[in-house]
Amino acid sequence: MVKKIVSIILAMALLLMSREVFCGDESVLYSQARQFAKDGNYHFAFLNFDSLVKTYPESKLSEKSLFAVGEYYFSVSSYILAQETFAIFGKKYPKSAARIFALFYLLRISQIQNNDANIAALENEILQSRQSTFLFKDSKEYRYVSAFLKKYKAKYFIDRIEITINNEFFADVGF
Amino acid sequence: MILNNLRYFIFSRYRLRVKVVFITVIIFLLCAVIFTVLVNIFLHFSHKSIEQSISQYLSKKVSLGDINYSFPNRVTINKVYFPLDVTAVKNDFSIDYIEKLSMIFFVTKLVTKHKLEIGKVYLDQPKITIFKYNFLFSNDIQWLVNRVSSLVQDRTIKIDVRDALIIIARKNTLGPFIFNAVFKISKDKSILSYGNIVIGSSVNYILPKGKTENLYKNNFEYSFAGYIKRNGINIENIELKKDYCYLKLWGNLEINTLKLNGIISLGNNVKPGGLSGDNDLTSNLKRIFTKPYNYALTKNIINIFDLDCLVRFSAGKINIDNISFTYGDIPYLLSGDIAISPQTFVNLKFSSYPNISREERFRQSNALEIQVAGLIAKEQFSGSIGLDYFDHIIYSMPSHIGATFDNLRFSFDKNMQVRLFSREVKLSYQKNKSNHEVILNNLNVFSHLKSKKIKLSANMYNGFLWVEGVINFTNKYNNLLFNIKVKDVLANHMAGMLSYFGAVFGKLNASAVCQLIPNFFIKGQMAIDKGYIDNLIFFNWIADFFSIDLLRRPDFDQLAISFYLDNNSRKLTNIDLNSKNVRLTGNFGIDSNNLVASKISLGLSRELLDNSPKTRPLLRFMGGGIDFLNFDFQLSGFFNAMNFKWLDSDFRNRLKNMLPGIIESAFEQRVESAVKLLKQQAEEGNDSNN
Repeated sequence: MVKKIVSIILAMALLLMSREVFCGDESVLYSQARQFAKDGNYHFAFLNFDSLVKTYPESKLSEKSLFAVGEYYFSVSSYILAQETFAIFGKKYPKSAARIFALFYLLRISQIQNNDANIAALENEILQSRQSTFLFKDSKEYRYVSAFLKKYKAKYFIDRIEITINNEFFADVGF
Repeated sequence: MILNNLRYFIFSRYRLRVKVVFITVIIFLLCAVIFTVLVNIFLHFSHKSIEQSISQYLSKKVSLGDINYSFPNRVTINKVYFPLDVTAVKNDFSIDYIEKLSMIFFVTKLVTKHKLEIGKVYLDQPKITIFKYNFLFSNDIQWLVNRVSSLVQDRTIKIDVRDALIIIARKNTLGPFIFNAVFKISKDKSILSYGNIVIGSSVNYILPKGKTENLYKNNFEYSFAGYIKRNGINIENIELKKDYCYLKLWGNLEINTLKLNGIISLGNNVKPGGLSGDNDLTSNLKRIFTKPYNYALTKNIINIFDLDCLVRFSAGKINIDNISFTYGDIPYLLSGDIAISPQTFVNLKFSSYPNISREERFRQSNALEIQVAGLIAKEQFSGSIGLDYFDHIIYSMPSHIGATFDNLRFSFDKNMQVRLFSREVKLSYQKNKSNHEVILNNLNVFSHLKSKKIKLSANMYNGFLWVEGVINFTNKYNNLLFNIKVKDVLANHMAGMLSYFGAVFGKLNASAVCQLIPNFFIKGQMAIDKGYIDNLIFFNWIADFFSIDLLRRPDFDQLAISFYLDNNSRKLTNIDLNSKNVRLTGNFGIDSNNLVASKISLGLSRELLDNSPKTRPLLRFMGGGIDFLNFDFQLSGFFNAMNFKWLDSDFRNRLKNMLPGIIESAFEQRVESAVKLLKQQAEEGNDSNN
């Protein structure tokens, strides 16, 4: 009888511990990925981000991870995969602070592919994404730091929007 | 001696023969003359009874001139009158007068069978008046078949009509017509006819013998060959020719259904000589049954080779089942109804690509559909004419131009001048989901087709409209260009044309240039004096923002605007609103992608700012001697997500320096919310207009 009770208690303890381990995995994955990115191991960072997105699609960390996956594909010129990833990102996180940057990635990919129809549609979407009011300033800036630690900046003027990544010009769209 | 005697003998026999023949001829001629004289005497004395007999036979009074007999078989009656009586107007048509009626009868049948049978009839200068058109359609073809059959029976009859005058007894209508024709109806029921019709001006109704030369410009020639069947007519060939137009048809007319196929050629290179020229039967037969015309297929010619018609007639109605043809590889179809009695009513539709769905049709760049429906009474048309055409921006949804007329009168004279008058016209234009319309009264249009000019004047919303333009369609260059002037028109009544006019009150004067072809644009200037603006979204928003109610309905001394519109953009420039308390200048433009570009300067008077507790504090930013505080701003971006920028100014800089950052942000958010609200209200306004 005692043996039975002890076995049950042990089994429950194991179960709880495994739960503990499993709940911590996405944060671990994410932290590891960030560390890899800091160290310049972008491929390993990508693997972790990708694994996190696939394994924990509803996680709070999934948004940044998905953006990071798109960034990686773009950086290795896998434009088709980057396009698919950013398109999913835009649909899944329409209110994300990074959405404007995802749209600009899609625009750049369309420009590389010479897809005029897509370019026009994306430019329209970008220009309609935010309505801005300039009372005492000539521009407004919105910043975002990606999981790959890249610094994104969107600068809105009355008649155009400029994107820089790590202070380097990336793309712009004007009226 | 013997020879002399022989010569004498032969010569005397010859002389005898000649004498005998000569005497016989003299006797014959004498007999003929005596006979002719006797018959003429008889006819003279029988004149009255002949007149009475004919009157009885025709059931109407007839007055005859001299009746003459010419040996051997011709009878001529001069000046045949059919006096008009009050019952005549109840008839569809009447023969009023015949200058000379000649009949040739068969002598042999008269002698052998004692039967007076007429083989040829010549009608010189008959005068015919047509009172109603509908007699042509009120009976089916059977009445004509029966009449012709009874006339012909077992003989051939030829009727030759020379210089017949046909008058349509209505004001302002085409005519008179002068008609020359030969009809030959054989005992085998075949019909041959050829001749010409001349259309004159509608001025002189006297016998036109001396005037025919003036009318040859409008000369139509025709020929007809066919035969009568039991219940109709088989049409082997109809040809119609006038200058540049040639029409050839064949088919049949059975009971009340006309089925025809044919070819049409329009152009400058149709060589004459076919139906005109020698008027004898042999020459004309040759022309009918051989190809009469040589014409070159040049680019100036319209050739249609597959004309197909099916038309049905019933009492007072013509139903056009289809008149179809192909031109330029595009199929066209005309269908509809024309009612003649008791009133004339038309309901017709003409369209391209008739055999595909409407949606598919208007994906084709040559798609069009014209509808005409209305009543024609007392030479006036009341109804609507509409045109749907391909819209290159919205595929499968056509653009529409329409006109609804009340009492439209139309005239076209021999000098190619067109005049048009209508008591009221409603013009409408529909593109995408937006509708625009304008109502004109007492519309007068004059066009001289040769000079390609058009002039229009009308009353419009208590004011006046004048338009002068050029209509130019040549193969090299097509152009439709107008100058437009508008005077003292009530601006707010023009809301049907453009919804924003509904908020502007005052008398509008404007001048503009409008081109429809080759590409559409309209540009010009307008000014409204001593008016006011009421319930314009922009001013409502300004009034809410500054909490100044007077701004909802600002009066102005003058509002002037220059404008430009085409298929890709709409621009208002040199906007200048001048009033005691409000000044507005600037420009506003929107392109086909709905992108806005605008710079506006709004000036509010010291007096106005003092009226609101919200704006009173701003007065300290105004220096002494400055009566207006100006707000200069720029709008840019999509119409539904416009960016707003307050442009640099002294006042702005002073305010910026004064405000702490947190208030600056709050102020900006407030303006952002207000701009969003303005956009929302503008969208609601557009939706309700559509």
